[in-house]
Amino acid sequence: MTLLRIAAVLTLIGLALMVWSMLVPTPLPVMLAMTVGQAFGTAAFALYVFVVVRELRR
Amino acid sequence: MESWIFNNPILAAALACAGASALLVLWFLVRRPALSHATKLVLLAGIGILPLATATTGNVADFEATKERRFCGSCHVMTPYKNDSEDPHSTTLAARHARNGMFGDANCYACHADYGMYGTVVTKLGGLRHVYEYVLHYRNTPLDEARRTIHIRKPFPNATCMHCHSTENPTWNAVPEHASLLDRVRRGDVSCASEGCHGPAHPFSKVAP
Repeated sequence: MTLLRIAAVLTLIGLALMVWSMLVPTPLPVMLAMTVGQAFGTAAFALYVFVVVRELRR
Repeated sequence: MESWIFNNPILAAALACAGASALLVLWFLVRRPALSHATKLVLLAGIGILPLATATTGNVADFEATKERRFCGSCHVMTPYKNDSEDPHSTTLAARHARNGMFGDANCYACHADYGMYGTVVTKLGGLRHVYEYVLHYRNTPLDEARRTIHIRKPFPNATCMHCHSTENPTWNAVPEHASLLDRVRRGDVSCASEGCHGPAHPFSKVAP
């Protein structure tokens, strides 16, 4: 559950960066959203997949 | 702001996906449910599907936003260029193109984009270089100095003008100067703007020696 909570927090940070870039489309937010934001989102989903697969293999 | 968002369906879809995803994730963080089959499905939507949809639509919205003049003008050194483009009384080449409905708010991109096969990627890579230059060299440069020192890296190519002014149109060729220089313009021997017949697109940035 701890890993999933970390994934949830990473998702929220990634979403916040993406929403910021869409509401304030200037170079810094857009670059952060397309790099850090998407990296956080990908990491969050990877954690989720890891937890679910681990559960299935038990 | 609401009308601006709802006038852009891709942006509205991205924000809706982000909102829905945030709600599901917050529900998980606040309620701390057991990891049942239903919880896994909710998290699949909240951590996987909806953020992916947000990223996809958000990227499209962001790429479109980077074509707009307000994006280019968000760095202070571009303020005179942005203001000139928005001045309804300006007669510069840039401002006259900004008043053309075909370009409108995307007039910077329309004239400074690369129109080759990989044009969009090349243009965006060039934009990254602009960010690099701005952050490292021009962030604190006064406007007056920036106006004197900032210049495009390569001579403005006629191919960019010819993306719209194809040189095939009879009306264009009816201008004697165009007809007489047709081959040289197409070869790029005579420049359309800058040092050529129509002059600099941003003449206020050219300081007399």
